[in-house]
Amino acid sequence: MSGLIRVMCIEDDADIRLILDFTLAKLGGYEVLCCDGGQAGLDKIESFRPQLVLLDVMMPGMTGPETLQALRQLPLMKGVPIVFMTAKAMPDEVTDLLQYGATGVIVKPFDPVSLPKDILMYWEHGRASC
Amino acid sequence: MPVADFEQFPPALQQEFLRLRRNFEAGLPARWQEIHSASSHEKKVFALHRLAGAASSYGCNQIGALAREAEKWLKRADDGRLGPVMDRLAAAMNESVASSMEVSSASAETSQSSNKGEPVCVSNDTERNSAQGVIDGN
Repeated sequence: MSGLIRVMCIEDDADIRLILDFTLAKLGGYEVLCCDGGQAGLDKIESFRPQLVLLDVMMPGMTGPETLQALRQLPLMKGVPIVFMTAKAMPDEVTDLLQYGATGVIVKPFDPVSLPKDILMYWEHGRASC
Repeated sequence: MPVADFEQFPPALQQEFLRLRRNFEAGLPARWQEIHSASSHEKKVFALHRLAGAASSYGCNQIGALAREAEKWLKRADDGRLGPVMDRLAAAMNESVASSMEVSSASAETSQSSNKGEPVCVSNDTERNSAQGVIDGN
């Protein structure tokens, strides 16, 4: 038992939110809260208290990096892994994203079958970094 | 994820995944409209980007790849390469829409007419296209 229970997904695309909820909740057994944008995610942090956040990079309004920076300002988010999801897969693009302070980057399209296990790696990494 | 890989899901979840996928396919005409009615270059790029990500997540890999290619040419303002890719994207999306309509008709066990066995029409009538779930490649 890893101890990872609550996962928040911040993703503006409704169809991707559905598949994230399906794969993480139904397949992975996590308690999942999907939010449709950065501000919606920020509004739910206190009530949901995620142990890991999956965060889309390219979103209208508040972008992924902007959302990450806002999340890191919250005391509740200290030590909580925040993992970007992006279609940008070039090494320099991934490096740029990590410099925002993300725990990791998951490249889209993600594999729905392996995603529940993949996020455990970031969960363990996040705990080890505390 | 190749289409066949959904079989890696436990059997109990395979049907649910397929239901989600059909739901996604049924929404493709709206995504096409979003791309074509985008009021700016940036919004059009964003709509293609979203389509690429969503399609690939559901195993609609051809649509995902074409949307990503279209995004690339649109960003580079290469209309010469963009046009044919958009035509192929429309065809791929039409095929998925038709497929999802066939499955829905079969599941509902209705005798109402559908596109089953008929080619998907291409028309300039935007509103009718939206209602019937067809995508105009123009």
